[in-house]
Amino acid sequence: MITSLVLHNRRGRSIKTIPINFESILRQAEASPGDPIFNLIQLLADIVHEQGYILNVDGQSELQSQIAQVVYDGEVPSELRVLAKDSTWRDNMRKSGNGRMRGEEFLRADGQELFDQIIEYPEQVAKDMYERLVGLEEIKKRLINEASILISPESVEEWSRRYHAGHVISACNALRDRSPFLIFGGDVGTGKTALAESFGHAVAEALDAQVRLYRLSVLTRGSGIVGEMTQRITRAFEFIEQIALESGLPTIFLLDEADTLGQSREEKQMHHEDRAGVNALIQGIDRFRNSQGLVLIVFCTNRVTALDPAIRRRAAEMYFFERPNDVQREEMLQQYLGDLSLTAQQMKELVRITGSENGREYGFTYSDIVNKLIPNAVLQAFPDTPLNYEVLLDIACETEPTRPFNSN
Amino acid sequence: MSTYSVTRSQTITHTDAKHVNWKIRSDLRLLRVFFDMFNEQHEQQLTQDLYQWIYRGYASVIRFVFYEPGTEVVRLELAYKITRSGSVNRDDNAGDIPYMDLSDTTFTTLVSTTQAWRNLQPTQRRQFYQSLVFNWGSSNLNLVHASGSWQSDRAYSSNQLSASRSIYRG
Repeated sequence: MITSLVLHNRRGRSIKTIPINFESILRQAEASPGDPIFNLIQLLADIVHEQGYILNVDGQSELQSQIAQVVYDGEVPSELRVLAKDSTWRDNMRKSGNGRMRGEEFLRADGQELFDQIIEYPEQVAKDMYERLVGLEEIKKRLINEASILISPESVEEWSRRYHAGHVISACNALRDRSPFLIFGGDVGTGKTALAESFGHAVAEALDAQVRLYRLSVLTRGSGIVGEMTQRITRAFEFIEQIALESGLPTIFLLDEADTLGQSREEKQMHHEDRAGVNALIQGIDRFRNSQGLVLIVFCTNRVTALDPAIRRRAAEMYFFERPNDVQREEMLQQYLGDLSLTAQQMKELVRITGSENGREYGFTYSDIVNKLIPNAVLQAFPDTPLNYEVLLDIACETEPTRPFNSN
Repeated sequence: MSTYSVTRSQTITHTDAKHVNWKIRSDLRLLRVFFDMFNEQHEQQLTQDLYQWIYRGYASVIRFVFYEPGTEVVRLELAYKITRSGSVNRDDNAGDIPYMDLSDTTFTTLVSTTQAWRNLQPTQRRQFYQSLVFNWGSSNLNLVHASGSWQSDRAYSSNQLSASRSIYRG
Protein backbone atom coordinates (compact mmCIF):
# COMPACT_ATOMS: atom_id res chain seq x y z
CA MET A 1 0.00 0.00 0.00
CA ILE A 2 1.31 3.44 -0.91
CA THR A 3 1.43 6.14 1.73
CA SER A 4 1.40 9.80 0.76
CA LEU A 5 4.04 11.90 2.50
CA VAL A 6 2.46 15.34 2.35
CA LEU A 7 4.83 18.24 2.90
CA HIS A 8 3.17 21.39 4.19
CA ASN A 9 4.32 24.90 5.15
CA ARG A 10 3.76 26.69 8.45
CA ARG A 11 0.33 27.83 7.31
CA GLY A 12 -0.71 24.21 6.76
CA ARG A 13 -0.76 24.55 3.00
CA SER A 14 0.40 21.46 1.13
CA ILE A 15 3.47 22.14 -0.98
CA LYS A 16 4.37 18.67 -2.26
CA THR A 17 3.11 15.08 -2.04
CA ILE A 18 5.62 12.24 -2.21
CA PRO A 19 4.44 8.63 -2.58
CA ILE A 20 6.34 6.20 -0.35
CA ASN A 21 6.23 2.52 0.55
CA PHE A 22 5.85 2.91 4.30
CA GLU A 23 6.16 -0.80 5.15
CA SER A 24 9.36 -1.14 3.20
CA ILE A 25 10.89 1.92 4.83
CA LEU A 26 9.82 0.71 8.27
CA ARG A 27 11.46 -2.68 7.65
CA GLN A 28 14.64 -0.90 6.63
CA ALA A 29 14.50 1.28 9.75
CA GLU A 30 14.00 -1.71 12.05
CA ALA A 31 16.86 -3.61 10.41
CA SER A 32 19.30 -0.78 11.18
CA PRO A 33 20.83 -0.38 14.63
CA GLY A 34 19.34 2.12 17.04
CA ASP A 35 15.93 3.63 17.54
CA PRO A 36 13.72 2.42 14.66
CA ILE A 37 11.61 5.56 14.71
CA PHE A 38 14.60 7.91 14.53
CA ASN A 39 15.95 5.69 11.75
CA LEU A 40 12.65 5.91 9.92
CA ILE A 41 12.53 9.69 10.25
CA GLN A 42 16.06 9.91 8.88
CA LEU A 43 15.10 7.77 5.89
CA LEU A 44 12.07 9.98 5.26
CA ALA A 45 14.22 13.10 5.69
CA ASP A 46 16.59 11.74 3.01
CA ILE A 47 13.66 11.18 0.68
CA VAL A 48 12.40 14.70 1.35
CA HIS A 49 15.91 16.04 0.77
CA GLU A 50 16.14 14.37 -2.62
CA GLN A 51 13.00 16.21 -3.60
CA GLY A 52 14.58 19.55 -2.71
CA TYR A 53 13.08 20.11 0.71
CA ILE A 54 14.23 19.80 4.27
CA LEU A 55 12.55 18.87 7.53
CA ASN A 56 13.26 21.23 10.37
CA VAL A 57 13.05 20.28 14.05
CA ASP A 58 9.31 21.00 14.21
CA GLY A 59 8.76 18.81 11.17
CA GLN A 60 10.65 15.94 12.72
CA SER A 61 8.66 16.19 15.96
CA GLU A 62 5.42 16.26 14.00
CA LEU A 63 6.45 13.20 12.03
CA GLN A 64 7.60 11.34 15.09
CA SER A 65 4.26 11.73 16.86
CA GLN A 66 2.41 10.38 13.84
CA ILE A 67 4.78 7.46 13.34
CA ALA A 68 4.70 6.52 17.02
CA GLN A 69 0.92 6.23 16.77
CA VAL A 70 1.08 4.36 13.47
CA VAL A 71 3.45 1.65 14.69
CA TYR A 72 1.44 1.26 17.88
CA ASP A 73 -1.82 0.90 15.97
CA GLY A 74 -0.14 -1.45 13.52
CA GLU A 75 -1.85 -0.01 10.45
CA VAL A 76 -0.15 1.38 7.37
CA PRO A 77 -1.20 5.03 7.10
CA SER A 78 -2.64 6.44 3.92
CA GLU A 79 -1.05 9.81 4.58
CA LEU A 80 1.63 11.36 6.75
CA ARG A 81 1.78 15.15 7.00
CA VAL A 82 5.01 16.91 7.82
CA LEU A 83 6.27 20.49 8.05
CA ALA A 84 9.00 21.11 5.49
CA LYS A 85 10.60 23.96 3.63
CA ASP A 86 12.26 24.50 0.32
CA SER A 87 15.99 23.98 0.43
CA THR A 88 17.36 27.46 -0.45
CA TRP A 89 20.96 26.55 -0.75
CA ARG A 90 20.85 23.71 -3.25
CA ASP A 91 22.82 25.72 -5.80
CA ASN A 92 25.61 26.35 -3.31
CA MET A 93 26.19 22.79 -2.23
CA ARG A 94 27.60 19.70 -3.91
CA LYS A 95 26.06 16.32 -3.30
CA SER A 96 28.36 13.73 -1.89
CA GLY A 97 28.60 10.29 -3.48
CA ASN A 98 25.64 8.85 -1.59
CA GLY A 99 23.37 11.70 -2.58
CA ARG A 100 23.24 13.42 0.80
CA MET A 101 23.76 17.16 1.06
CA ARG A 102 26.90 18.01 3.04
CA GLY A 103 26.45 20.90 5.44
CA GLU A 104 30.19 21.27 5.85
CA GLU A 105 30.32 22.81 2.37
CA PHE A 106 29.08 25.98 3.98
CA LEU A 107 32.39 26.51 5.60
CA ARG A 108 33.49 28.04 2.36
CA ALA A 109 31.59 30.85 0.73
CA ASP A 110 33.08 32.58 -2.28
CA GLY A 111 36.41 31.00 -1.46
CA GLN A 112 36.60 32.34 2.10
CA GLU A 113 35.75 30.57 5.31
CA LEU A 114 32.63 31.69 7.14
CA PHE A 115 33.92 30.52 10.50
CA ASP A 116 37.41 30.92 11.87
CA GLN A 117 36.95 28.64 14.84
CA ILE A 118 34.98 25.46 15.42
CA ILE A 119 35.17 23.75 18.79
CA GLU A 120 33.51 20.55 19.91
CA TYR A 121 32.90 20.19 23.65
CA PRO A 122 33.67 18.63 26.05
CA GLU A 123 37.21 19.77 25.36
CA GLN A 124 40.16 19.89 27.72
CA VAL A 125 41.64 23.23 26.59
CA ALA A 126 38.25 24.90 26.97
CA LYS A 127 37.80 23.25 30.35
CA ASP A 128 41.14 24.60 31.57
CA MET A 129 40.38 28.05 30.23
CA TYR A 130 36.95 28.06 31.86
CA GLU A 131 38.34 27.01 35.22
CA ARG A 132 41.08 29.62 35.08
CA LEU A 133 38.50 32.41 34.75
CA VAL A 134 38.27 33.31 38.42
CA GLY A 135 36.17 36.10 39.82
CA LEU A 136 33.37 35.34 37.37
CA GLU A 137 31.61 32.72 39.47
CA GLU A 138 28.34 34.59 39.67
CA ILE A 139 28.26 35.19 35.91
CA LYS A 140 29.28 31.61 35.19
CA LYS A 141 26.52 30.19 37.35
CA ARG A 142 23.81 32.32 35.76
CA LEU A 143 25.22 31.76 32.30
CA ILE A 144 25.29 27.96 32.49
CA ASN A 145 21.72 27.82 33.81
CA GLU A 146 20.52 30.29 31.19
CA ALA A 147 22.38 28.63 28.32
CA SER A 148 21.24 25.14 29.30
CA ILE A 149 17.62 26.25 29.29
CA LEU A 150 17.90 28.14 25.98
CA ILE A 151 19.66 25.26 24.24
CA SER A 152 17.65 22.52 25.86
CA PRO A 153 14.18 23.79 26.85
CA GLU A 154 13.06 20.31 27.88
CA SER A 155 15.36 20.54 30.88
CA VAL A 156 13.11 23.20 32.44
CA GLU A 157 10.07 21.07 31.58
CA GLU A 158 11.64 18.15 33.46
CA TRP A 159 12.26 20.46 36.41
CA SER A 160 8.62 21.58 36.30
CA ARG A 161 7.33 18.01 36.25
CA ARG A 162 9.53 17.10 39.17
CA TYR A 163 8.41 19.97 41.38
CA HIS A 164 4.87 20.61 40.18
CA ALA A 165 3.11 17.26 40.35
CA GLY A 166 4.02 16.16 36.86
CA HIS A 167 2.83 19.35 35.15
CA VAL A 168 4.61 21.78 32.89
CA ILE A 169 3.60 25.08 34.46
CA SER A 170 2.62 28.06 32.32
CA ALA A 171 5.61 30.05 33.51
CA CYS A 172 7.81 27.80 31.36
CA ASN A 173 6.18 29.30 28.25
CA ALA A 174 7.77 32.65 29.04
CA LEU A 175 11.17 31.02 28.64
CA ARG A 176 10.18 29.51 25.30
CA ASP A 177 9.21 32.91 23.90
CA ARG A 178 12.69 34.35 24.27
CA SER A 179 15.29 34.40 21.53
CA PRO A 180 18.24 32.11 22.27
CA PHE A 181 20.55 35.09 22.16
CA LEU A 182 23.00 36.44 24.74
CA ILE A 183 25.22 39.52 24.74
CA PHE A 184 28.51 39.65 26.61
CA GLY A 185 29.54 43.26 27.09
CA GLY A 186 32.27 45.03 28.95
CA ASP A 187 35.69 46.50 28.99
CA VAL A 188 38.68 45.01 27.22
CA GLY A 189 40.46 42.15 28.95
CA THR A 190 37.60 41.35 31.29
CA GLY A 191 37.13 37.75 30.16
CA LYS A 192 34.21 38.12 27.73
CA THR A 193 35.76 36.31 24.80
CA ALA A 194 37.55 33.75 26.95
CA LEU A 195 34.26 32.89 28.63
CA ALA A 196 32.38 32.85 25.33
CA GLU A 197 34.88 30.38 23.88
CA SER A 198 34.98 28.10 26.91
CA PHE A 199 31.55 28.03 28.57
CA GLY A 200 30.41 25.48 25.99
CA HIS A 201 32.43 22.91 27.93
CA ALA A 202 30.43 23.59 31.11
CA VAL A 203 27.18 23.47 29.14
CA ALA A 204 28.21 20.12 27.63
CA GLU A 205 28.83 18.78 31.14
CA ALA A 206 25.56 20.22 32.47
CA LEU A 207 23.55 18.69 29.63
CA ASP A 208 25.65 15.54 29.46
CA ALA A 209 25.84 16.05 25.71
CA GLN A 210 28.22 17.15 22.97
CA VAL A 211 28.08 20.85 22.17
CA ARG A 212 29.62 22.69 19.22
CA LEU A 213 30.79 26.28 18.84
CA TYR A 214 31.13 28.13 15.54
CA ARG A 215 32.82 31.51 15.66
CA LEU A 216 32.00 33.86 12.81
CA SER A 217 35.05 34.99 10.91
CA VAL A 218 36.11 38.63 11.04
CA LEU A 219 36.42 38.32 7.27
CA THR A 220 32.64 38.38 7.18
CA ARG A 221 32.82 42.14 6.73
CA GLY A 222 33.86 41.12 3.26
CA SER A 223 36.18 42.73 0.79
CA GLY A 224 34.01 45.75 0.11
CA ILE A 225 31.95 44.24 -2.68
CA VAL A 226 28.38 45.50 -2.32
CA GLY A 227 26.09 42.88 -0.83
CA GLU A 228 28.92 40.54 0.14
CA MET A 229 28.72 41.15 3.89
CA THR A 230 24.97 40.67 4.01
CA GLN A 231 25.24 37.51 1.96
CA ARG A 232 27.92 36.04 4.21
CA ILE A 233 25.98 36.83 7.40
CA THR A 234 22.82 35.27 5.96
CA ARG A 235 24.71 32.18 4.83
CA ALA A 236 26.34 31.83 8.21
CA PHE A 237 22.96 31.73 9.96
CA GLU A 238 21.60 29.32 7.36
CA PHE A 239 24.56 27.06 7.90
CA ILE A 240 24.18 27.12 11.66
CA GLU A 241 20.51 26.16 11.35
CA GLN A 242 21.31 23.36 8.93
CA ILE A 243 24.27 21.95 10.81
CA ALA A 244 22.39 21.99 14.11
CA LEU A 245 19.46 20.22 12.49
CA GLU A 246 21.64 17.59 10.82
CA SER A 247 23.83 16.91 13.81
CA GLY A 248 21.16 17.27 16.49
CA LEU A 249 23.88 18.80 18.66
CA PRO A 250 23.43 21.95 20.77
CA THR A 251 25.27 24.64 18.81
CA ILE A 252 26.73 27.97 19.93
CA PHE A 253 27.14 30.64 17.26
CA LEU A 254 29.66 33.23 18.45
CA LEU A 255 30.19 36.69 17.00
CA ASP A 256 33.09 38.50 18.65
CA GLU A 257 33.46 42.28 18.36
CA ALA A 258 29.82 42.33 17.43
CA ASP A 259 29.75 46.14 17.36
CA THR A 260 31.77 46.05 14.12
CA LEU A 261 28.89 44.29 12.35
CA GLY A 262 25.92 45.18 14.53
CA GLN A 263 26.44 48.91 14.91
CA SER A 264 23.36 50.99 15.46
CA ARG A 265 21.57 51.97 12.28
CA GLU A 266 21.00 55.34 13.85
CA GLU A 267 24.64 56.27 13.31
CA LYS A 268 24.76 59.07 10.75
CA GLN A 269 27.97 57.85 9.16
CA MET A 270 26.78 54.34 8.50
CA HIS A 271 27.15 52.97 5.01
CA HIS A 272 24.03 51.38 3.52
CA GLU A 273 25.88 48.04 3.33
CA ASP A 274 26.47 48.22 7.08
CA ARG A 275 22.76 48.83 7.62
CA ALA A 276 21.93 45.86 5.43
CA GLY A 277 24.40 43.83 7.46
CA VAL A 278 22.68 44.82 10.70
CA ASN A 279 19.34 43.84 9.19
CA ALA A 280 20.80 40.47 8.26
CA LEU A 281 21.96 39.98 11.85
CA ILE A 282 18.50 40.83 13.19
CA GLN A 283 16.85 38.44 10.74
CA GLY A 284 19.37 35.78 11.68
CA ILE A 285 18.56 36.13 15.39
CA ASP A 286 14.82 36.03 14.64
CA ARG A 287 15.30 32.81 12.65
CA PHE A 288 15.88 30.96 15.91
CA ARG A 289 13.14 32.49 17.98
CA ASN A 290 10.55 29.86 18.93
CA SER A 291 12.84 27.24 17.39
CA GLN A 292 12.64 25.08 20.52
CA GLY A 293 16.32 24.94 21.33
CA LEU A 294 19.55 23.62 19.81
CA VAL A 295 21.10 26.94 18.76
CA LEU A 296 22.43 29.64 21.07
CA ILE A 297 23.75 32.92 19.62
CA VAL A 298 26.36 34.89 21.57
CA PHE A 299 27.62 38.37 20.72
CA CYS A 300 30.69 39.81 22.45
CA THR A 301 31.33 43.53 22.39
CA ASN A 302 33.29 46.25 24.13
CA ARG A 303 30.53 48.73 23.30
CA VAL A 304 27.09 47.42 24.15
CA THR A 305 25.52 50.85 23.59
CA ALA A 306 26.89 50.92 20.04
CA LEU A 307 24.86 47.85 19.13
CA ASP A 308 21.65 48.55 17.27
CA PRO A 309 18.74 48.77 19.78
CA ALA A 310 16.85 46.13 17.81
CA ILE A 311 19.69 43.73 18.46
CA ARG A 312 20.01 44.63 22.13
CA ARG A 313 16.33 44.19 22.90
CA ARG A 314 16.32 40.73 21.37
CA ALA A 315 18.84 39.46 23.87
CA ALA A 316 17.44 37.04 26.44
CA GLU A 317 20.14 38.31 28.77
CA MET A 318 23.09 40.71 28.74
CA TYR A 319 26.11 39.88 30.83
CA PHE A 320 28.33 42.77 31.84
CA PHE A 321 31.98 42.15 32.51
CA GLU A 322 34.04 44.53 34.62
CA ARG A 323 37.60 44.78 35.64
CA PRO A 324 38.28 42.66 38.69
CA ASN A 325 37.84 44.32 42.08
CA ASP A 326 40.28 43.80 44.96
CA VAL A 327 38.75 40.49 45.99
CA GLN A 328 38.74 39.15 42.45
CA ARG A 329 42.29 40.30 41.75
CA GLU A 330 43.45 38.57 44.92
CA GLU A 331 41.64 35.41 43.91
CA MET A 332 43.34 35.50 40.53
CA LEU A 333 46.77 36.22 41.99
CA GLN A 334 46.31 33.38 44.47
CA GLN A 335 45.50 31.02 41.62
CA TYR A 336 48.82 31.69 39.93
CA LEU A 337 51.03 32.61 42.89
CA GLY A 338 49.51 30.61 45.73
CA ASP A 339 52.40 28.16 45.80
CA LEU A 340 55.07 30.86 46.26
CA SER A 341 54.54 31.25 50.02
CA LEU A 342 53.84 34.98 49.85
CA THR A 343 52.77 36.52 53.13
CA ALA A 344 49.33 38.02 53.55
CA GLN A 345 50.88 41.48 53.62
CA GLN A 346 52.78 40.88 50.39
CA MET A 347 49.65 39.62 48.64
CA LYS A 348 47.75 42.65 49.92
CA GLU A 349 50.39 44.94 48.44
CA LEU A 350 50.23 43.21 45.05
CA VAL A 351 46.46 43.59 45.08
CA ARG A 352 46.84 47.27 45.89
CA ILE A 353 49.42 47.93 43.18
CA THR A 354 47.28 46.25 40.52
CA GLY A 355 44.26 48.34 41.49
CA SER A 356 43.43 51.94 40.69
CA GLU A 357 46.01 54.19 42.29
CA ASN A 358 48.36 57.12 41.71
CA GLY A 359 45.70 59.08 39.86
CA ARG A 360 44.79 56.11 37.69
CA GLU A 361 41.10 55.45 37.61
CA TYR A 362 41.33 51.89 36.46
CA GLY A 363 43.05 48.77 37.68
CA PHE A 364 44.46 45.76 35.94
CA THR A 365 42.19 43.64 33.79
CA TYR A 366 42.17 39.85 34.03
CA SER A 367 44.28 39.63 30.91
CA ASP A 368 46.72 42.28 32.23
CA ILE A 369 47.42 39.95 35.14
CA VAL A 370 47.43 36.67 33.25
CA ASN A 371 49.03 37.76 29.99
CA LYS A 372 51.38 40.54 31.13
CA LEU A 373 52.19 40.66 34.84
CA ILE A 374 52.73 37.00 35.61
CA PRO A 375 54.45 35.91 32.39
CA ASN A 376 56.76 38.97 32.51
CA ALA A 377 57.60 38.25 36.13
CA VAL A 378 58.52 34.66 35.25
CA LEU A 379 60.64 35.89 32.34
CA GLN A 380 62.34 38.36 34.62
CA ALA A 381 63.29 35.64 37.10
CA PHE A 382 64.21 33.02 34.52
CA PRO A 383 66.82 31.53 34.36
CA ASP A 384 68.93 32.79 37.24
CA THR A 385 66.70 33.72 40.14
CA PRO A 386 63.55 32.35 41.77
CA LEU A 387 60.23 34.03 41.24
CA ASN A 388 59.59 35.93 44.46
CA TYR A 389 57.74 38.91 45.85
CA GLU A 390 60.38 41.45 44.87
CA VAL A 391 60.30 40.40 41.23
CA LEU A 392 56.52 40.46 41.19
CA LEU A 393 56.39 43.89 42.77
CA ASP A 394 58.89 45.32 40.29
CA ILE A 395 56.97 44.02 37.30
CA ALA A 396 53.63 45.10 38.75
CA CYS A 397 54.96 48.65 39.17
CA GLU A 398 56.36 48.71 35.65
CA THR A 399 53.29 47.27 33.93
CA GLU A 400 50.80 49.72 32.54
CA PRO A 401 47.28 48.28 32.70
CA THR A 402 45.20 48.35 29.53
CA ARG A 403 43.28 51.58 29.16
CA PRO A 404 39.52 51.28 29.18
CA PHE A 405 37.96 51.19 25.72
CA ASN A 406 37.63 54.67 24.21
CA SER A 407 39.54 56.37 27.03
CA ASN A 408 42.36 58.91 26.47
CA MET B 1 15.27 -39.14 14.67
CA SER B 2 13.97 -35.82 13.32
CA THR B 3 15.27 -32.61 14.64
CA TYR B 4 13.59 -29.31 14.40
CA SER B 5 14.99 -25.87 14.55
CA VAL B 6 13.26 -22.55 14.61
CA THR B 7 14.82 -19.64 12.83
CA ARG B 8 14.45 -16.50 14.88
CA SER B 9 14.59 -13.13 13.23
CA GLN B 10 17.54 -10.96 14.23
CA THR B 11 15.50 -7.80 13.86
CA ILE B 12 13.16 -6.58 16.57
CA THR B 13 10.02 -5.42 14.83
CA HIS B 14 7.01 -3.45 15.96
CA THR B 15 5.15 -6.76 16.01
CA ASP B 16 7.61 -8.24 18.49
CA ALA B 17 7.26 -5.16 20.69
CA LYS B 18 3.51 -5.39 20.50
CA HIS B 19 3.50 -9.05 21.52
CA VAL B 20 5.63 -8.45 24.60
CA ASN B 21 3.84 -5.23 25.45
CA TRP B 22 0.43 -6.87 25.28
CA LYS B 23 1.50 -9.56 27.71
CA ILE B 24 2.62 -6.84 30.10
CA ARG B 25 -0.66 -5.09 29.49
CA SER B 26 -2.51 -8.25 30.50
CA ASP B 27 -0.70 -8.12 33.85
CA LEU B 28 -1.49 -4.42 34.14
CA ARG B 29 -5.14 -5.16 33.48
CA LEU B 30 -5.19 -7.70 36.28
CA LEU B 31 -3.65 -5.13 38.59
CA ARG B 32 -6.41 -2.71 37.63
CA VAL B 33 -9.14 -5.26 38.19
CA PHE B 34 -7.73 -6.56 41.47
CA PHE B 35 -6.73 -3.33 43.12
CA ASP B 36 -8.81 -0.65 41.37
CA MET B 37 -6.16 2.04 41.70
CA PHE B 38 -6.35 3.36 38.16
CA ASN B 39 -8.94 3.33 35.45
CA GLU B 40 -9.10 1.74 32.02
CA GLN B 41 -8.03 4.90 30.24
CA HIS B 42 -4.91 5.07 32.38
CA GLU B 43 -4.23 1.43 31.52
CA GLN B 44 -4.60 2.10 27.78
CA GLN B 45 -2.44 5.21 27.79
CA LEU B 46 0.24 3.62 29.93
CA THR B 47 0.33 0.62 27.62
CA GLN B 48 0.83 2.92 24.66
CA ASP B 49 3.73 4.71 26.33
CA LEU B 50 5.36 1.48 27.51
CA TYR B 51 5.18 0.22 23.95
CA GLN B 52 7.30 3.17 22.81
CA TRP B 53 9.81 2.64 25.61
CA ILE B 54 10.14 -1.05 24.66
CA TYR B 55 9.99 -0.79 20.86
CA ARG B 56 12.53 2.03 20.62
CA GLY B 57 15.00 0.33 22.92
CA TYR B 58 15.04 2.78 25.82
CA ALA B 59 13.61 0.66 28.63
CA SER B 60 15.83 -1.77 30.48
CA VAL B 61 13.39 -2.43 33.35
CA ILE B 62 9.70 -1.59 33.68
CA ARG B 63 8.26 -1.59 37.19
CA PHE B 64 4.70 -1.50 38.46
CA VAL B 65 4.99 -0.52 42.10
CA PHE B 66 2.52 -0.26 44.97
CA TYR B 67 4.16 1.57 47.85
CA GLU B 68 3.19 3.21 51.11
CA PRO B 69 3.22 6.99 50.69
CA GLY B 70 5.41 8.64 53.29
CA THR B 71 7.64 5.69 54.10
CA GLU B 72 7.95 4.63 50.41
CA VAL B 73 8.04 1.01 51.53
CA VAL B 74 7.12 -1.30 48.66
CA ARG B 75 4.30 -3.71 49.25
CA LEU B 76 3.96 -5.20 45.79
CA GLU B 77 6.09 -4.79 42.69
CA LEU B 78 6.11 -6.36 39.25
CA ALA B 79 9.43 -5.79 37.50
CA TYR B 80 10.06 -6.65 33.85
CA LYS B 81 13.64 -6.88 32.67
CA ILE B 82 13.73 -6.10 28.96
CA THR B 83 16.38 -7.83 26.88
CA ARG B 84 17.00 -7.56 23.16
CA SER B 85 19.57 -10.29 22.71
CA GLY B 86 17.40 -13.35 22.15
CA SER B 87 18.78 -14.93 25.31
CA VAL B 88 15.29 -15.67 26.66
CA ASN B 89 13.28 -18.27 24.77
CA ARG B 90 10.23 -18.66 26.97
CA ASP B 91 6.95 -17.05 26.12
CA ASP B 92 4.69 -17.80 29.07
CA ASN B 93 1.10 -16.81 29.62
CA ALA B 94 0.51 -13.56 31.41
CA GLY B 95 -1.31 -13.36 34.72
CA ASP B 96 -1.03 -15.24 38.03
CA ILE B 97 -0.61 -12.18 40.18
CA PRO B 98 -0.94 -12.48 43.96
CA TYR B 99 -3.82 -10.73 45.61
CA MET B 100 -3.05 -8.61 48.68
CA ASP B 101 -4.67 -5.77 50.55
CA LEU B 102 -3.10 -2.69 48.99
CA SER B 103 -5.79 -0.21 49.85
CA ASP B 104 -3.44 2.15 51.63
CA THR B 105 -0.79 2.26 48.93
CA THR B 106 0.01 4.44 45.93
CA PHE B 107 0.57 3.02 42.48
CA THR B 108 3.30 4.18 40.15
CA THR B 109 5.13 3.02 37.04
CA LEU B 110 8.88 3.42 36.71
CA VAL B 111 11.16 2.85 33.76
CA SER B 112 14.89 2.32 34.08
CA THR B 113 16.66 3.42 30.96
CA THR B 114 19.23 1.82 28.69
CA GLN B 115 22.59 3.09 27.51
CA ALA B 116 20.89 3.98 24.23
CA TRP B 117 18.76 6.48 26.15
CA ARG B 118 21.75 7.99 27.89
CA ASN B 119 23.44 8.39 24.52
CA LEU B 120 20.59 10.47 23.15
CA GLN B 121 21.00 14.19 22.59
CA PRO B 122 18.67 16.48 24.60
CA THR B 123 16.66 17.32 21.52
CA GLN B 124 16.10 13.64 20.75
CA ARG B 125 14.95 12.98 24.29
CA ARG B 126 12.57 15.88 23.99
CA GLN B 127 11.18 14.51 20.74
CA PHE B 128 10.72 11.10 22.31
CA TYR B 129 8.87 12.56 25.30
CA GLN B 130 6.62 14.49 22.92
CA SER B 131 5.55 11.22 21.31
CA LEU B 132 4.30 9.87 24.65
CA VAL B 133 0.87 10.33 26.19
CA PHE B 134 1.98 10.94 29.76
CA ASN B 135 4.48 13.49 31.03
CA TRP B 136 7.45 11.36 32.00
CA GLY B 137 10.27 12.76 34.08
CA SER B 138 12.87 11.88 36.67
CA SER B 139 11.61 10.14 39.79
CA ASN B 140 12.75 11.25 43.22
CA LEU B 141 11.25 8.27 45.03
CA ASN B 142 13.48 6.34 47.41
CA LEU B 143 11.62 3.05 47.38
CA VAL B 144 12.40 0.60 50.15
CA HIS B 145 12.13 -3.15 49.77
CA ALA B 146 12.04 -3.84 53.48
CA SER B 147 11.41 -7.44 54.43
CA GLY B 148 9.81 -9.12 51.47
CA SER B 149 11.07 -11.42 48.78
CA TRP B 150 11.50 -11.53 45.03
CA GLN B 151 10.47 -14.34 42.76
CA SER B 152 11.21 -14.62 39.07
CA ASP B 153 8.27 -16.43 37.66
CA ARG B 154 7.81 -15.99 33.93
CA ALA B 155 8.96 -14.40 30.72
CA TYR B 156 7.31 -13.02 27.61
CA SER B 157 9.26 -13.07 24.37
CA SER B 158 9.04 -12.64 20.65
CA ASN B 159 12.13 -13.29 18.55
CA GLN B 160 15.00 -11.30 20.07
CA LEU B 161 12.84 -9.29 22.44
CA SER B 162 11.83 -10.48 25.88
CA ALA B 163 10.48 -9.26 29.21
CA SER B 164 11.42 -11.37 32.23
CA ARG B 165 9.02 -10.83 35.12
CA SER B 166 9.87 -10.84 38.83
CA ILE B 167 7.37 -10.20 41.62
CA TYR B 168 8.19 -8.69 44.99
CA ARG B 169 5.83 -9.12 47.92
CA GLY B 170 6.50 -6.99 50.95
